[in-house]
Amino acid sequence: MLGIRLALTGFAVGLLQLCSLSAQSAWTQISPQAPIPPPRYAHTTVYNPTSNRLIVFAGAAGPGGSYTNDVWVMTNANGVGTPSWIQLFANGAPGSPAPRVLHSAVYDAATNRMIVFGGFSPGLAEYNDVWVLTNADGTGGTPAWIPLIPSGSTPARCSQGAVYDAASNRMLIFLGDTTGYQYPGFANTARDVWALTHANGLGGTPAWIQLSPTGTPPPGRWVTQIDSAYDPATNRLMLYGGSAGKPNDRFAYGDTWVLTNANGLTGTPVWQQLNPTGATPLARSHASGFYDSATNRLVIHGGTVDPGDYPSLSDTWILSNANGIGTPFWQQVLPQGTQIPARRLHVCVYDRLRNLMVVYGGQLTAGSSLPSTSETWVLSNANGLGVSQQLRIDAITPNHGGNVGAVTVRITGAGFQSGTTIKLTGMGQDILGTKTQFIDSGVLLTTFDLSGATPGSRTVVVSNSNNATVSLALGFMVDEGGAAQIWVDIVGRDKIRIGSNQTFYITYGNRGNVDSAPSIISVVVPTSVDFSVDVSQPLIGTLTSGSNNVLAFALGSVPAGGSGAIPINLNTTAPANSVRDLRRGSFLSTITGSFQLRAFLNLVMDLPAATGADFEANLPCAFFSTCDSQCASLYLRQLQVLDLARSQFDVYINSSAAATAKLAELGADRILAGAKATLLGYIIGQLVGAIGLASEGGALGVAAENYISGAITHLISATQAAYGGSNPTNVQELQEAALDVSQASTSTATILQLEQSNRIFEELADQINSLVDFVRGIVEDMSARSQEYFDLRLARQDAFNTFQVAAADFCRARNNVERCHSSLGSSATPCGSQQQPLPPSDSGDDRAMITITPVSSLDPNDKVGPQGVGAIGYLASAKALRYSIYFENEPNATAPAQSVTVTDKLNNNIDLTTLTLGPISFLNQLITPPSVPPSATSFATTVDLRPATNLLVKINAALNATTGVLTWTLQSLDPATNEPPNDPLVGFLQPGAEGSVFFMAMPKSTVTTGTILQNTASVVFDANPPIATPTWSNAIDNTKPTSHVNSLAVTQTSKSFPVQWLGSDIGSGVRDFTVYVSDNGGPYIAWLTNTTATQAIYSGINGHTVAFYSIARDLVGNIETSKSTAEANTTIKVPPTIQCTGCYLLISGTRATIAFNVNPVGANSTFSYNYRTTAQTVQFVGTTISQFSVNGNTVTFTGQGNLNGQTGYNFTVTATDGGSIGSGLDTVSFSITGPDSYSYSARGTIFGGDIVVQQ
Amino acid sequence: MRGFLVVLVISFGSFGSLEADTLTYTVMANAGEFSYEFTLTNTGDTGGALFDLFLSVPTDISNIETSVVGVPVGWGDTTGGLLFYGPDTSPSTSFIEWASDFSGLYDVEIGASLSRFSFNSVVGVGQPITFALNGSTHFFSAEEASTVPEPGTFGLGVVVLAGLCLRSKSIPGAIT
Repeated sequence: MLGIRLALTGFAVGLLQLCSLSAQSAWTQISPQAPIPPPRYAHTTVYNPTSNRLIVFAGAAGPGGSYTNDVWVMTNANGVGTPSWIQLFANGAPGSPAPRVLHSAVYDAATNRMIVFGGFSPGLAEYNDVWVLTNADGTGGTPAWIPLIPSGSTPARCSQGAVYDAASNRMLIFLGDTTGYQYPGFANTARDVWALTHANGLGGTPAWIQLSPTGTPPPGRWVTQIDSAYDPATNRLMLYGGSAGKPNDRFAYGDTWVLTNANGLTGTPVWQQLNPTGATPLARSHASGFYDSATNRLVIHGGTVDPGDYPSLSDTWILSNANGIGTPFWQQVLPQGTQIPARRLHVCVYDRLRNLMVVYGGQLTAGSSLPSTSETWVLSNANGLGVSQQLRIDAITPNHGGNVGAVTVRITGAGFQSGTTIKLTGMGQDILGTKTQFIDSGVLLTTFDLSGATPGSRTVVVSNSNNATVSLALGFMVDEGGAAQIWVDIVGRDKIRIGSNQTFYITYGNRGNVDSAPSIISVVVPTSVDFSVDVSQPLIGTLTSGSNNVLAFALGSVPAGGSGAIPINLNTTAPANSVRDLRRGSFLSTITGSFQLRAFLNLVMDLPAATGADFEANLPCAFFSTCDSQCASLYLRQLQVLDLARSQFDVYINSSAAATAKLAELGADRILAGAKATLLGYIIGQLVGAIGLASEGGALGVAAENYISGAITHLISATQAAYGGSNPTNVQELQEAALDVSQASTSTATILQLEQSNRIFEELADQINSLVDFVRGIVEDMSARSQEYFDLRLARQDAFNTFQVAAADFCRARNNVERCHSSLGSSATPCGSQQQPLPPSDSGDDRAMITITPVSSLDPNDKVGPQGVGAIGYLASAKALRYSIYFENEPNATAPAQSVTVTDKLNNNIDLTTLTLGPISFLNQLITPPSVPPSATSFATTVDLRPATNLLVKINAALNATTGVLTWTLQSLDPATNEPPNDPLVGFLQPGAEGSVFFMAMPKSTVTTGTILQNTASVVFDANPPIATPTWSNAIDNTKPTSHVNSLAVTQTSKSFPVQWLGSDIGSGVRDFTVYVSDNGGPYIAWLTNTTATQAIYSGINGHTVAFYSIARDLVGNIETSKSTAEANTTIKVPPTIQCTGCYLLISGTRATIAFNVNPVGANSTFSYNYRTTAQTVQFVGTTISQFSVNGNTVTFTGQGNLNGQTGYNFTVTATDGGSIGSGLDTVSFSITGPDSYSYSARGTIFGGDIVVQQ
Repeated sequence: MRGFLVVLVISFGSFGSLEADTLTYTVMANAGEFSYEFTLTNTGDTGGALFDLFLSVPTDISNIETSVVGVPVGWGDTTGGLLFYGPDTSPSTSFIEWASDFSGLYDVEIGASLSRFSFNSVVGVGQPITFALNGSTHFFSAEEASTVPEPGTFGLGVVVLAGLCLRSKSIPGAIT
């Protein structure tokens, strides 16, 4: 898009619920009935959720940790019902795999087969054998061990990762220890990935296939055992943590990895390391866990920080978006009640039907010893998303949209999967959701194109890839009409401390019922004020204009109901004339030199999407009539920014020099030239040699020479035709010529092969054949290179064509703007000192302004919200509330703050489910929560301040949905201990440093006009008492204004007549009106748009009936309910008139001049006549018109008047409008009668002037 | 200034063509428009009093400020007479006609002149401006009396005239 970044910014999309885990988890120890297997560790366990049976194989069992090969099954393994152990195979049972530990086992539920691979033997050797246990859970028949004999082999190993792809029947083996349990993690250890086909022993002969992933593979390691760490929907396997190192010098990993195309069947596998956000769990080894593909969550439990044995852990963590699609983030599970003892080398399996994690065995920690255990524990709500994971829809936001565009909605519920599809059904064709984003199992985003859809309710249908479907009847309403209504506002303090950075938030949103087109926000900052913008923000350009810097931000489409914020840091120095006001005695001493921070929401500029008429429609001249000239000039500057981008693009893509450079970069020309020289030289050299050989053969040689000469001629001519003397002119010629060369070579070889009885010719034939092969190779290479060159040219042409369309739009835009600017220049609102003051920040959607006063000191803790309209700060509830809370460690503090806790008890009238966290800033750090946070979670992350400061800052933000308290905690951590620093003089917030947090939320839908929204935050530094911020207050204006057009007379006798309208509003007050008119029963169209006037002159068409209604808009943007019927109507009935403008006749060579302008009413009618000779004087002036009739183009009127100054005369005029001026077709006749039988008449053709009849 | 102009008009009029009664005019800038002012002189060529002046102006009627056409007393004002204007035989030509009051009181007698026939145009109307008298269809060209000097030039002229006047007074003294 021509340099424009149109990505969604900040945390724009969706209205997001942040709360703690939606349901609490809890540990329960279960006690299966005897016989109890020996306690063990380093075993494997798989689980059949259908039979609810757990299968345990091998491990180090008993007090001495003897390696075993027994198999046990636990029924009712999740604790539902009475669990019991069943031994399938005793230790040492014949036909069993050898005893082992640290092996892997995967389970094919469809065939009830467990597949075991590798491990570590009692003899300190590693296995690479593969075994299948049939009827593995003890059901369906007698279990039996089957050794698989795959073709190929994979290195023996232990502690490897293993997953099973049931769809392809492949077991994937990755990493692990191939060094004899000695040195994993070093260059000679396994970082490989293998696939075993037909892994369950069915369908064919198993075979080992080594995959060749690209990307940097994870370091070699003992892999954390995770149940089903494979996402079949995306063909990705997951890897978390593990350990490596030499004995007595081992270390743990805390990294997370994904292997895409993992089964090797859908493309090249690629290793990708993930960078999860959230509070990071301690790196660990010998942990276990599971992956829930339905929710894309990976859960890890226990393990040990130190692989050298001590101590073990009992914590449990969830990684959302674990397959790397979406932003992965960690959160810790904090189970209620009894806690599971810490352990390692245990195994976790997952009952996804009941959302339960079963933990079996492992090593506990008892002082310095590590006793094995046979305990079984069950963790409820294991994935943190509640017990029920049945597919369901809870809500869809927004739940309506206009049928004039697209609407992006957020669907909350449960059980969603990657690949879930959404559609609207119920009326007309189904409307499929597109651009669907799987946020997590509880949140989906999708976009419905509602253009032209029939208004009415729809059912929302969600379908998972496993064919599970759920619907929400009448869950969505298609509105008739509507539009996007994007707005911009500034949230920030009206004071800034001189010399300090302070964050201001440019907030925006869309309160319309369809997604907005891309837009631009221009932020105007005086050049005297320093500013900085984080690179994550969509800043597309900065221009200096006079005393201001103009920052242009490109917004992507803002979803209906969506909102976002762009943080900007400002820093100002003291004005030269600053004087600290010591008399005030407070810390709010104002210094002169206030400045304004302004933001303008500019026009839609989606050039590729809005072309031609659409684009022009987005650039109405009305923009300038509703916007002061400064705004217009700002917009012009935006065009300049875009124009600059266009120019740069132009230079790159269209310049022949640039294209040549690009070709040179790709080496195409060089390759072509080199190939040409090689081909030509080789052909000629080989043939010259052949000629020499042939000349040895006497008569046969002569014959051969003749053939060869012909071949040479043909080859060389063809070759030179292709390359001789000049570069190929086009790719097609090049390819054709190369083909000629190939054919010529083949022809020569064929000729020579006919003479193979001669040795010479045999040798010649061999050489020529060799030549032919070589030529063919060259030709193929040339063809490939040529095609590359050709493709490049095509691509360049495509890019250029695309660019030309965009460039044309730019030109049209610029021309349009300039035209508007020119045509309205004389009426535009003056700039400079006469410029009208900007309205309050909330009174207009398209602009915002805040006046900021530099001060020497200010309240270090503050809460700022939207300014609103008027003293009471009216806001529309359709706009998101937006608050920023500032905190500062006072400059005179004696120590940095280690911990800062900000709490905000949200007003009861705020809809907590719509809370969205915004940027968190401190020092030079800007942390932005995910643009679309997952459901039912809080935000957590850790910021590393190193190397500048040897600290980590752990950030947590969470809303207590019950109390409505939103809490941010910023905690300093010592990187060495992951604990708060012991040194009291170490902390992340130095004296004088400050920070801020930001959030947005919608008022409840039930709030009414006049509802006051007050909020106060509290800031706590370390162990100091809480400091309350000032209270920020706004009032809601939810009431739509009303208006009406005053009634009009039934008829209008003039085509132009006044129309008046009035409006009223409860709350903020009426801002302006849009007056609609219907002409002669046609559709209502806007006559006056957003006008503050209450009357105007309407000019219509004679004979037409026009109808009017008005729609008012209040100062917070509420718009009057739409109307469809007229509030006033009238019919324009302008009476006919006849005019004769200065006509004259010729009577006997003398002019008789006549003029009249007459209408039926007679009012303001005039008639005069002059004929004067030396012998006769007829000067007549009409005084009244008494009759008037029209017959086609002929009008007759009569009246009274004065003849030569005497009253009492009557006149009759008949005039015909026969043509235009000078046509000779206009005629007039008239007579005057009066006292004393006076009579005068005249008639004739009009010479000068023109008679015009208007009806 | 008026007196000065009259002097000039008379002076130039005395050297003009005398095939018909004469109509001379001046043109000067006025508030961004061209202001034309005419003087009708009855030299006796028509053979009697002049009671009708028909002016044919080579410009569209829309260029003429018809609401402020100047009329002499009794030639289309409240005293009497009639004023007509409009498009002439083609759209690019307009006419203005002044007719004196039927009483004859305001006719221009032989040997007399009458000014204050005037109009303003938003454009220069070009030449010739022709006129006909007393309803006749015989047209004659009006003659531009003089180019009115710019105010600065006029001021200079006044100074020169004043100097000449002083000189003329001093010369006799010198002779004596």
